[in-house]
Amino acid sequence: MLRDRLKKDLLIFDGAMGTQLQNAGLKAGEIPEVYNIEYPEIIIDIHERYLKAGADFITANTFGCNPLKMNDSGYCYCDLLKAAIKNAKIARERVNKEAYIVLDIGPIGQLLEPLGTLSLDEAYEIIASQVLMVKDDVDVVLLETMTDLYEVKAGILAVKENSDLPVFVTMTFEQNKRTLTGSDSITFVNVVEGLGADALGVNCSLGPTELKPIIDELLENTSLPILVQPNAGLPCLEDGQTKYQMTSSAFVEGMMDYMHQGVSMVGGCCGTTPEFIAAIKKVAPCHVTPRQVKKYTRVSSQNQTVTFNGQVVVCGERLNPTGKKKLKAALKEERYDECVVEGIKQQQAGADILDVNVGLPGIDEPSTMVKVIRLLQEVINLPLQIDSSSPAAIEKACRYYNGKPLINSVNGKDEVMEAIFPIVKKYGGVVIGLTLEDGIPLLAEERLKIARKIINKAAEYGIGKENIIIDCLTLTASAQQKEVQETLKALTLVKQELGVHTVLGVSNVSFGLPNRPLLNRTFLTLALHSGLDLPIINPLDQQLMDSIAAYNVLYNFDQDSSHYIVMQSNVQLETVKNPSTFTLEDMIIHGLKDEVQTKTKEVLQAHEAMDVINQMIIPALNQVGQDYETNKIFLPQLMQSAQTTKLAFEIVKSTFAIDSQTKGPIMMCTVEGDVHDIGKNIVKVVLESYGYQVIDLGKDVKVEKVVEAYHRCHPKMIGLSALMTTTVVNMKRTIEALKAIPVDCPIWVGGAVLTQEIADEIGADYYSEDAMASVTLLNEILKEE
Amino acid sequence: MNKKTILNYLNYQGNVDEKTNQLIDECILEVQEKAYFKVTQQIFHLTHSPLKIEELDLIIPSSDLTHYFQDCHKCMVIACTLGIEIDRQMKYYEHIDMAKAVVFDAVSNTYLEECCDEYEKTLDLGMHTFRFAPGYGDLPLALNKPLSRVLQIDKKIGVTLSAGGLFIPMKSMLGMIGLGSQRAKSCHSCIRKESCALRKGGQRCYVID
Repeated sequence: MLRDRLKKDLLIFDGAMGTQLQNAGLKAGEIPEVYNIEYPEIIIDIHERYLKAGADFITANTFGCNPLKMNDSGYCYCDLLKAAIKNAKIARERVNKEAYIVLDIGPIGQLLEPLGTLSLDEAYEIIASQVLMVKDDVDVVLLETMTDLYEVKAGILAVKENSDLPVFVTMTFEQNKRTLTGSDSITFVNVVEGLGADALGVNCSLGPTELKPIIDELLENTSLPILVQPNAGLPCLEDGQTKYQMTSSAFVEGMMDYMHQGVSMVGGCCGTTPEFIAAIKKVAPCHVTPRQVKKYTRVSSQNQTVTFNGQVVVCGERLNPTGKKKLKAALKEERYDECVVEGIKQQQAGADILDVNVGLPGIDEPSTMVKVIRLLQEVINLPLQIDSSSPAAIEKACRYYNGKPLINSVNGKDEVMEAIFPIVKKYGGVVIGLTLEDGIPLLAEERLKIARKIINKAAEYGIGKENIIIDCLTLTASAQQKEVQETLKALTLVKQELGVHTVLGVSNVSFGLPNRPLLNRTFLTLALHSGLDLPIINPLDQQLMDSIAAYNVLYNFDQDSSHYIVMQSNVQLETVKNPSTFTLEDMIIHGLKDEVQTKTKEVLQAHEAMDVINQMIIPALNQVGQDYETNKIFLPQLMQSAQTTKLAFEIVKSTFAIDSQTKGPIMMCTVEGDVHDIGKNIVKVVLESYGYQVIDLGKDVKVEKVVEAYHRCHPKMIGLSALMTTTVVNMKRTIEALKAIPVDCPIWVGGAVLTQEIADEIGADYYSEDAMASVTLLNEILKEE
Repeated sequence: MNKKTILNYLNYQGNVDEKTNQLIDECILEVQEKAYFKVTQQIFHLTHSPLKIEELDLIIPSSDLTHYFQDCHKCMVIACTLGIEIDRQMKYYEHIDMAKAVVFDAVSNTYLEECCDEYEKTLDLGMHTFRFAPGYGDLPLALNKPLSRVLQIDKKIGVTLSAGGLFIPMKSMLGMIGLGSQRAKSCHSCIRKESCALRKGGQRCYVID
């Protein structure tokens, strides 16, 4: 069995296919996979030469054999795929040697959401179709030259859910030690190990020498077998063509250390030839050098990993609607932007991980969770904590999360563990175990007992204790004063006896007592001293964060107190700020958004809310609009003023029943296929500053989603944005679908390539050239309302 | 970085205000830090009447390019990007600070152009035209697809062409440079020529109109 051999026998992969095909006559622009059908003998010959050179694997010529990349090949990708495997088999028969046939899967060629347009499901379907087509004729699936960890996730799930084949993953790293989508090697290891790949490694991009820092990190951090396939050195350009000049002996020299340090499979990528493989085979040891790898508790986003290694890890608790009216309303009204802003604030305040809980009655928790996670992951690199009592929501969130999540939570009840542990195992997460069963035991020893039970049960599912964090449960001092210290005792016991990391939600302790922050930070300090690793807190509470900073100094985690010193000097800087002497109007005109909220509160003490709006905000805003139109101010200044006004409006609204003053709602989106939504966002901010309620559907919004949102939101107007001529087609489709309902509100369009003529052609009711023109247009159309 | 170009992208006419100037300075530092410039290129032979990339047997249906490349026998296809972190940072500012987002956008555009210009200078191209990108003038956007495939831009520089024909990361471009003849940049073929706010204000991006 291949799986059994991976940790014992050092196996040899083959080398480049592309360079060999070019030598055999493949021209620029020709699709290599087409040779599988048109010139099978050339492919078979290359395989044969690699086998004779000593390769144990035949990498079938299927790198780009997917429906998207083969679209222009003149062949169905299925036929090219089957022909490739057939060629590999023929080569194996001819050489008459035991060798593993590899279904080779390269990047699909489209970037995945949220920054790209391909969904995880679409990527999954593509790879699953490749696997299903040839799974009985191959021995292993290799996902190679990957740059996007999310695509890797789709690939591993597709292979494992559709076959029993081993799956290897190699990613391509740049000289900055990251993949082109930003993943580092430790994140790669953490996520891919979690998803259950059989081997992982690096290929392409760099030569054996340049890859050393990456390979060293892999050797140190993964217990999985490692596959290394470098290029023949760095490419150089000759007359505009890429060439590789490294010799086979230099290549072998570069690979030698790795083969003696515990790598399990070696081969080559671009520029390598059968000569390289023969040279490797000649010197490669037969067996894999055993390695010791230390296990850490690690959670990851797509490009950042938090390692639990003694220091305090802060989990931000604020993305949880419990007790938060504003967030509740935002979730119910699908204003997910507010969740993202809340996340960003916590990141800025120093959180290491963000808790995400969207549990509300009447909400579709699994799908809301996925939407919020996707939006957060688009802009926030912190790992997330998936927090739900619903196994369905946890499962869906784990499937669509990009990275290795923290999962909150299981407890000592068998049925809960039986529901959650399979998800943790399948998707690779770190799970929080609450030390309770039917209730919270009062004594620390009893909580320790439950923690032990959770760890033992997890082991039955193949979940190691490094993937469990134990919650010793904070009790409320006002109700169970005696037991508060049992929690502290439990922290120490769990850590000492079980060797796992610990977590606590801190602020429960002070419930029902005055000056809660004082109790919270005192309890936090005691808990940290007792062994708490992961406090779940509000990172915007500066005093709590200060206590942690001080703890890190006193326990020598903050070396030379450098972080602490920076933090304290910022505090002093803030206190010397002078209070502003500007009026509210000036603040809007000059876009002083940092100070406008205080000022608005101040003027509200002396003026009626309606007067503040009509006599201060609106005239200032009109002045801004006029200045913009007459080229006295420009786009950045318009944005500053608009944002400042929005903040002022929020303060006025909070003190006044202003609903009658809100205009709209206006529904806006950037159309299907288009990800450039800065234009739409500019218009949105300006409209909001004029008091319009904007429902923002986001970017790359499928036609049917716009239709669905229309029925749900009943907008007064619909705005569509597109940047490119190619996506204007989708704008037209969206308008057609809306008009077919038919909608009872006008549709206006805008975007870089649009003109009045195009707008007329595609059936839009109005066109506006920029944000201010949109305001004028909407004011005019909706003034009757 | 050339602030004038940045201000052009922001449609500035006249002096920049202090606050925006400060934003630009901040964004220049951030863009330089977040960007991961990658470039790839390949040289091909051209034949004329009709204009064609010989090795690819690809006809270039563009009278603009036929004109600009009339004395060129080779062309370089070049693709480059600032990488995905710029997209992420841009989205980040779109959530919390649109003023900074629009400045960040303009600075990124400028930086991409400048990085590509700098790279070209290292290539010793001899006499050459400026970069001409599909989508400008009458050079069809559809050319992005075959040219991206030939250059393997997804593998080499991490740029993908979406189903809707957009480059992702967003701050990426693909252009063609004619070799063997000198042509300077002008506003003539710019897609925004008719609607350009700068032109309306009497300004020009290039020396030649």
